[in-house]
Amino acid sequence: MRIIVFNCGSSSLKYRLIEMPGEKELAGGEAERVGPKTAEPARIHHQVSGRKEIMVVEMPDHATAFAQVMRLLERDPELVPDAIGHRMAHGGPNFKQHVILDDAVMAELERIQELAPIHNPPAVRLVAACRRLYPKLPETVVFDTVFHATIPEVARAYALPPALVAKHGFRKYGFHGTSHQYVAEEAAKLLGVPFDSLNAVSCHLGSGGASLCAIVKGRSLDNTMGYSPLQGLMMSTRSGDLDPAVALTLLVRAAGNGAAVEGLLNRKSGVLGLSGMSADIRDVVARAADGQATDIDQLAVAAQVYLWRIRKYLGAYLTLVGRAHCVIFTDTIGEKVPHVRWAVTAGLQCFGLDIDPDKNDAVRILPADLSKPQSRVRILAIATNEEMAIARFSFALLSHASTQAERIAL
Amino acid sequence: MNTLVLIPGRKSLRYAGFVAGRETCTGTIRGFRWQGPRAALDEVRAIVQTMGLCDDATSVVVHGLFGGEEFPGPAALDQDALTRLERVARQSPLHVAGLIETAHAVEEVFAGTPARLAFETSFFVDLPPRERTYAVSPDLSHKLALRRWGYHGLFHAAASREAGRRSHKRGLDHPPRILSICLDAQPEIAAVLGRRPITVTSGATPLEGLPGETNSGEIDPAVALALAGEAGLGPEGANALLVGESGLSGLVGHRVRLDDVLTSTRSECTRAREVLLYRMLLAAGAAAAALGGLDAVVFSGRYVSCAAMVAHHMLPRLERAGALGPDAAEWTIFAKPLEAVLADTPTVN
Repeated sequence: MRIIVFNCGSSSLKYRLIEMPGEKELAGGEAERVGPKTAEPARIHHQVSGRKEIMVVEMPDHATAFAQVMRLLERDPELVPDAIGHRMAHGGPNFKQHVILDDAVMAELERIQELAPIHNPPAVRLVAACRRLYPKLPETVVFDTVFHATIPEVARAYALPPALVAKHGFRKYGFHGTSHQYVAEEAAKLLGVPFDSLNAVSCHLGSGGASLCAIVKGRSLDNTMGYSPLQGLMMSTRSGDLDPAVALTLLVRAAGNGAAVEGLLNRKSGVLGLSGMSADIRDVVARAADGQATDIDQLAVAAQVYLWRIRKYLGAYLTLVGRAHCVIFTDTIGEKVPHVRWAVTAGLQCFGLDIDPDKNDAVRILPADLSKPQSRVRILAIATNEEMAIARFSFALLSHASTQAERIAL
Repeated sequence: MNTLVLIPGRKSLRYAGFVAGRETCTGTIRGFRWQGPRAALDEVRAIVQTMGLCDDATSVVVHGLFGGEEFPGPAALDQDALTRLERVARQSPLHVAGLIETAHAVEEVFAGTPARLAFETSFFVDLPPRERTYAVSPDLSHKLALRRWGYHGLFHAAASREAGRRSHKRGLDHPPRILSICLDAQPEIAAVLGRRPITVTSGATPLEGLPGETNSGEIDPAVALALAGEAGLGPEGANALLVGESGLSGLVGHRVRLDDVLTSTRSECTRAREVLLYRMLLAAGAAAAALGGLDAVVFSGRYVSCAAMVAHHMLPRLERAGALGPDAAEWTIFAKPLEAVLADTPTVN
């Protein structure tokens, strides 16, 4: 079965065509500058078996981008998809499993899309376009929040009056679940531990968003993000944890303009806001280290705050997990920045972490174990692959549905 | 040396008299704000005069919640201190304005008696930049004087000194790494290295951090904005809800005290207790990571009598994760009330 996986951004559309169950990647690419015209033309970077091509084409919306991607694939009969898998950031309170798309699912997706106003609406529009243009292709929807459906009530509750919570649905959801689950499964394989016995802390440190996840017996027990992705770690442009009184003070200063405050905290804070020079922690760490920058103190503080918050949450989650098998680092920063891995784990021998600085600096091929032999808790760097995870979930769902249909037919 | 301790609150004034370090009288004047600090202090003066506390050897200690960076320690109550208080008033208008009013009244009612101010935030003035800084632009932080504080510094300082002394007696060869847990109406956890705080759960205001009797504690900032916006409460309404109607009382459904929640067998308290203990465990784990392990655990605060219950829940989990050193298994109770801690505040020259 060939499954095309779509990962929809606000102005981009990433895709991978994966042959399942062999997990062979057949094609992939990204449509850029989807939406209103920009200074540069919209284009698709398309890749098949190592061959790359760039197609410049107008893509005023995600439906058009999708149609263009399908046109590219359909040039080769061996690349025509049998099914579509969608990534959806937020599943709301009711999607506790990944699902096969039908009318009821579509209605619920539309109902909850404002829970993630940046991420969900374009993805929902894409799902609708796929249904309209290819009504016979089965579609699945894989949610970032589903892995966190196991977070217990005590961890997901905010200390607010229950009536208010019931009315507005304020609770922790957690995000990056697809990635946390994927790397945890890979870690279990690497360590030879059954997934449903794995205890771990997974650190998804992206160049944009970032979160930590406490995993016990293969189930998510807590995640640093909350009701929205704003809570938790300091991120590239998000503030992370902030005194709620400060958020309200900012709201007063903005004359009640909530969108302006959300914009400030989501897009102009974090590494970008604190450093004043870049949203990428790699730039900040490098500039702070070279000692040449005049704003050295500001850069050093930005780097320290970023690392400190990861370290504190790591300690909190290691305490929660108890006897952890491993700590996993993944996504752009977690996979590629040895300094971050070292700074947040060094000196934590009390928790059983003993990182090998040489291995940590030298590693190029993932997955890799970066801990010293005597380290009680293994420190792993594992490349995340959310598209592969979505293909796996989709294949499992569709295979199960097909088996069920065969049983009914018999 | 006789000492009169004054703790002005929002509605009442607590006082306590100490003779040679021993508490000889204590009480509360209700309607403190309504009748004005001058009238309340006249009443206190009349009471303590009968105890022989108002002689030449008496000093007065006034408690302040917030002193900002102007007050890195206790300060003599004089014109300079009042000027500095005026400067920090905009950072914590409610608390500091009330304190200024009380301070003026103290100068009048106890004229000629040396008086000093002791602040909860002083202990946290030198909190490391990585801990005190929010991830927003430095310009914004500067404009709003935005940074993180702790609000039980007097308990943390005194309790960690006591725990440090015990560690020293045990022969510890490095500055003790102390987990300081203040069990008060607004509980607070700090990591202390030697005598220096490294982390604390509160933030720019006491609202951040652990849930309190009526404070929500930490929530997603997006929830605060949604309360003000979608829920229609507005910023002031949202703040009032988060500060006054949330936390343990919000979870239980009516006003409760922290010790009720921690010790009650009533099922209505179960969920609030579990939420509080869960958040405390996370904060303790974070503190352990900040310190690279723990040598000592010390409890203080108004509800320190509940320490055993919290320790029973928390310490085995810290130990299992490896965060608790072998010596830290013997946790310490610092049982002095706030009044006694204030009476011990060093005299300022």
